[in-house]
Amino acid sequence: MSDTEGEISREVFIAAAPATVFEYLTDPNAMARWIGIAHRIEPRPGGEFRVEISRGNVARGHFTRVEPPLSLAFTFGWGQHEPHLWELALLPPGRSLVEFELEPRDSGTLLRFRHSCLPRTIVEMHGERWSRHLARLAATLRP
Amino acid sequence: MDAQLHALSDATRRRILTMVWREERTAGEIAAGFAMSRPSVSQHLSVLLESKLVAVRRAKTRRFYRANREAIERLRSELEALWDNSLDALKAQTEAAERGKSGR
Repeated sequence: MSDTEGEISREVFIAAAPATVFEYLTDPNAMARWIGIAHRIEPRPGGEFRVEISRGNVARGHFTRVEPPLSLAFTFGWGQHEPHLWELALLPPGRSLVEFELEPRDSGTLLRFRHSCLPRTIVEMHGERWSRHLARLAATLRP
Repeated sequence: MDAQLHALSDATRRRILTMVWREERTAGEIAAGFAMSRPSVSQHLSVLLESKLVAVRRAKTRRFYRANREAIERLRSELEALWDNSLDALKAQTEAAERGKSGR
């Protein structure tokens, strides 16, 4: 829906119950129907998120929030990529955060998607700001 | 990936990237910003050039260095395309699954 520097966000209305949508966000077989070709998904805080998005391009991270059926978040970056897509290296595993928030709406679901903490400059990839972000992520993992 | 990570692993090179992010500079201008010899700066610049994080423009005998800001824009475009396509597919698939569940 809107984009600010360092962030991509979208809102989508889906004519399906939040529980159905949540299943499609966390079940490897269901995920294969809308994203990626190979999946390793452990939907619990600290669990692994690994999706081969296309051949040779693997997104990796860890779940930071898993609250079925309304809220899901995981860190996101590229563990492997094709050589010609070298700019993906600017987003290494754990560098950014992906969030899905589901809200029941008119017998369906309003899905709010946000991909944040994206680098705005090449230098930011390894900056102090990123260290602070890691500390915040670590804090969200604590009970 | 390794070339970029290696280039970014050094604090001096990150400072050089910051210096050439908004405007291009010569090696001399960059060296003047550090207490560093020209050969050391040249060494760092060659690592940055190899990683493609920095580009060079030659004008007569001078060389101007600048950060490859387009790389960040390409990263962003790649991600936007990925999520737009994926969210469209997610909507279509979950709605089809819901119709299947209600038997309509």
